[in-house]
Amino acid sequence: MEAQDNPDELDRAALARCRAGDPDGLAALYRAWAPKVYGLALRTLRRRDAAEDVVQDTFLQVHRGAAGFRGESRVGSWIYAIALNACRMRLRGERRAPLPLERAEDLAAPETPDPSGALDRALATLDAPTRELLLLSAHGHSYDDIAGLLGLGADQVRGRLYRARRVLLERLQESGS
Amino acid sequence: MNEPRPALQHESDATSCLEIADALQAYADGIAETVTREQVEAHTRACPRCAVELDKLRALMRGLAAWGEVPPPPELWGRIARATVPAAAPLTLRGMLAVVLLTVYDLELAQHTRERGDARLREGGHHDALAGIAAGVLAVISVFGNLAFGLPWTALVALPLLWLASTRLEQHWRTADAAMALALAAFAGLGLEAARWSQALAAPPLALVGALTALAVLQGLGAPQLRPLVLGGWRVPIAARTGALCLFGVLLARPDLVGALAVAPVAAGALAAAGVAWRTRHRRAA
Repeated sequence: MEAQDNPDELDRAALARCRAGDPDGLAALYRAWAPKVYGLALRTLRRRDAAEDVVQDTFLQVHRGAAGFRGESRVGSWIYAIALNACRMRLRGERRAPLPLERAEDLAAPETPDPSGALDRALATLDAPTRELLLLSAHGHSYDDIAGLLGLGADQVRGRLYRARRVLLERLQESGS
Repeated sequence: MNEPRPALQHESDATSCLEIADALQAYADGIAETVTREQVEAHTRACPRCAVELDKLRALMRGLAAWGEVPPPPELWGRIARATVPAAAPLTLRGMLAVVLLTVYDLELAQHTRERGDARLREGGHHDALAGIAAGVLAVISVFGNLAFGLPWTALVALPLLWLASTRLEQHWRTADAAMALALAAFAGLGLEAARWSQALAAPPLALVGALTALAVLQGLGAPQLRPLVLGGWRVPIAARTGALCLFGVLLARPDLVGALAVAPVAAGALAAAGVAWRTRHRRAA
């Protein structure tokens, strides 16, 4: 695979430009990762304003920390780690509990291809760590990457992920979707 | 999703379905090993229930992928981009000390040029002299504004004022010292302004300030060939003193610019060599 086709190589090149003070570097990282970071934050925190703050905090921290990135992990994993931390700090501060099914319609993003909101409602009944796990898997992270991000073992990740998907399927079946 | 489940034909079918449940997930994730993949494919061909489960799982994963990626509001990038522009220097004790320091230099300079220029003033040309002083003061104030308050574009405002000040003062006081000092102050401000975008941009103007400071140090150490050193009619001692004060003021206000100022020794060396060469040629011509 050519360097320019490898997503992580592209991210590293963008980060190097960011480190050199080129604003296009951060813009490239934003284009690649902001939808996933915003999705992660929106689905975890279930508030648009909080999700926007997480995206802003994440990319400002990417900008400030570009010089200190040692390259031991993928750039995407590093960005996710920052975003996850930002979400958790907000959750810790707000002490939000999972909403009951009926109130999840308020949080459905209009862009989601789930017009009935069934998936939103089902996910809203899960706790934040489970939603995090499902999102990270949905965004294409390997079990090892997820294990590193969440501080779990790979087997733990696999077991929790499989259980979470089964629970989600059952909730969707209960709601008639 | 509410299809009736087909009845199991044999007890071994249930065992197989239970065994294959986790393998289905690994298969859907695309990480199943070859043997497992073959087992799943063979089982789902024979077991409609598991085939349906696999389809549901894949649909769920597609739904989660789409659900988890949401374009942020378009205006969010603008907020982030603006926040990454280097912030204006906040008003700090350091910044205020820098203002005081540069004010002291300004007063010293004014004292020096007044002593030298009184005779000329008595001969006439008050209006131009006053215009030059006013322009010079405004130029310096605009640089102070950058140093202490981080007001944008102050150095660029200072440049036309500097030109006005230097031409008026030079004409009526026959000295380029004031112009040189004001130029150094403007260069310092320009460097601070440029540093908002890039320390590389800030390096040349700040290097000029640092270079003249280094020359003052060399002169103080008694390098005879540098005395007296005149650069384009501007005497180094006053300019170097001004430069030293400017540099110290800049460092007080913005210590993060130390990196940009690191090129000063290199520039100082080059400038000193050029000055020596010029001086030598000037002596020969004389």
